[in-house]
Amino acid sequence: MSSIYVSSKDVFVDTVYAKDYIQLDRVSTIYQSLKDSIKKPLKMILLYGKPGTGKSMFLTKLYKDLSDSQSIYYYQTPILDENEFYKLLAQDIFETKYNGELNFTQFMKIVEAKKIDEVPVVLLDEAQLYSEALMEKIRLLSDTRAIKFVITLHKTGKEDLIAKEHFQTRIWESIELENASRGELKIYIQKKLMKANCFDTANMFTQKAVNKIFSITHGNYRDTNKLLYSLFDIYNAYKETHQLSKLNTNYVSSKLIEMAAIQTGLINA
Amino acid sequence: MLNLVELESRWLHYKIKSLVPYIIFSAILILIFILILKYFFVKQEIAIDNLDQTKKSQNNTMQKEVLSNITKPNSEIRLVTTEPNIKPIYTPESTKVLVPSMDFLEQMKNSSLPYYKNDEIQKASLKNHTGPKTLHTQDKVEEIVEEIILESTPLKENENEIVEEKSSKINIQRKNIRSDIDGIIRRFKKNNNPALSLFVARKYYELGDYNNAYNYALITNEINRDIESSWIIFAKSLVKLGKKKMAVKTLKEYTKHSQSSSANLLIDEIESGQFE
Repeated sequence: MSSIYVSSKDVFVDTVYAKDYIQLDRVSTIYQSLKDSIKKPLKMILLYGKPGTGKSMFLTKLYKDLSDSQSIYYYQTPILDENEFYKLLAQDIFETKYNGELNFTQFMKIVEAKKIDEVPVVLLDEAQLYSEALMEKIRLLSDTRAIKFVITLHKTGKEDLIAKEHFQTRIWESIELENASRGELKIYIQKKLMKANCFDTANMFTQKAVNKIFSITHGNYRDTNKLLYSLFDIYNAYKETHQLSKLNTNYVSSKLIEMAAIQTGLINA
Repeated sequence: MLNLVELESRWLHYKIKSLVPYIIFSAILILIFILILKYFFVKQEIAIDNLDQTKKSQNNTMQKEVLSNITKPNSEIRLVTTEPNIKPIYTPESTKVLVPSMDFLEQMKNSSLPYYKNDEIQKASLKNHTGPKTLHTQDKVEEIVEEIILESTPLKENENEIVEEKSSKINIQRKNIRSDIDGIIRRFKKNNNPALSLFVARKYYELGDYNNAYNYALITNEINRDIESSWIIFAKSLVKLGKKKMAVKTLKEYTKHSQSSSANLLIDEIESGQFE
């Protein structure tokens, strides 16, 4: 039987599963607004934010929630080759398998030929990795209203430029995702642990400990996951070397948080 | 498996590194605080030193003055030491320095002269009596009082002898007293001892020579203003000379600063007519 520290550590493995989605008030509101936007006749929806703010998790959750009721397609990893991109869309959306090369003109012919009543929704993650030429084609495709795109972008100077230049006239809805606040971070950590029945470790996170974590991760979900994974790894190491008595297991000490941050590289020691 | 020892040492290194700025900042603050304190202490010490130096220089000048006075003859010393110490107690105008009129003593040698011919002179002398008083001369006064006690003890013995003689042989006694008084007056002229002048005043009063009693009491008061019995003789003499109001006024002025119960009693007796 694995210890509570191992179970707690596994909770914070950096994966994007819809089941791992944590309901936070602000995040829930944003998610609901995204769901509502999809129902609207929008050409394109932009979801942007810093890395680790939960954009991928949003798309995953959206895909899971709408896949039963709507024609929705989620491309987690970017398809960098233009020909492959068209072929994949033609196959998934229009059920047309194309063996040879498929360019934009040919793909547009397929779109026109296969009239679909319900506008399919295509979710594109990490859109900043697509080439400018392909992004332009995506823009033209969204103009036909034959496909609705929901794309996620990292919020940097360059990506803002892409958003402005290519999609300014087409994006009807843009949603920004932000890091968690101190309060949200505490709820996030505790909810995540309690979801995995790790109640004892969830209670170890006092506001002081959460503040310490916040000072290191700035509320970034990905960094928090990394830090807490490493933290429970350290707890487990103490336990396995029979040194757990050296630690106070009633609450998470700042020392262990800092050690975990050093281990993960969040603190440069 | 994590290397906890290495991780702990890395953490310790990080902790020390992160505390260094705070330690430096605190050290700088403490240093600044110490420097400020030191600055103020040094400033204070300089001020104290300056004060000490000025005090020392003042003391030196005073010592020099005293030394120079000591080298002078006795008569001069009296003048130097007593005059600057006279400060008013009763009224501001009393800063006037009283110089006792010694003319009557000269006159006494030849014949008894009428002392109360001139009322104005009398009034002026009385005014001056009620006024001046010295605070500075407190030490001096104490010294003088001690002298009085020391020197008055043998005098009292003499007095008793005289009184005894007086009761037995009246005529002879009177002569003796007169001759004694003359001898004491001579001694008084030499050393200006207020105990002697008081003795003379008292004897004159006993003999019924109220003019001389008044004069010698006046002289005594002039030399030392804190001898209660001198003021009593002075007032009693005035009453006997018919200057009741003046006597009461003088005593009241005296009691203002002395709180003398005898003086108060005498005032009551004069005012009620018990003493005439």
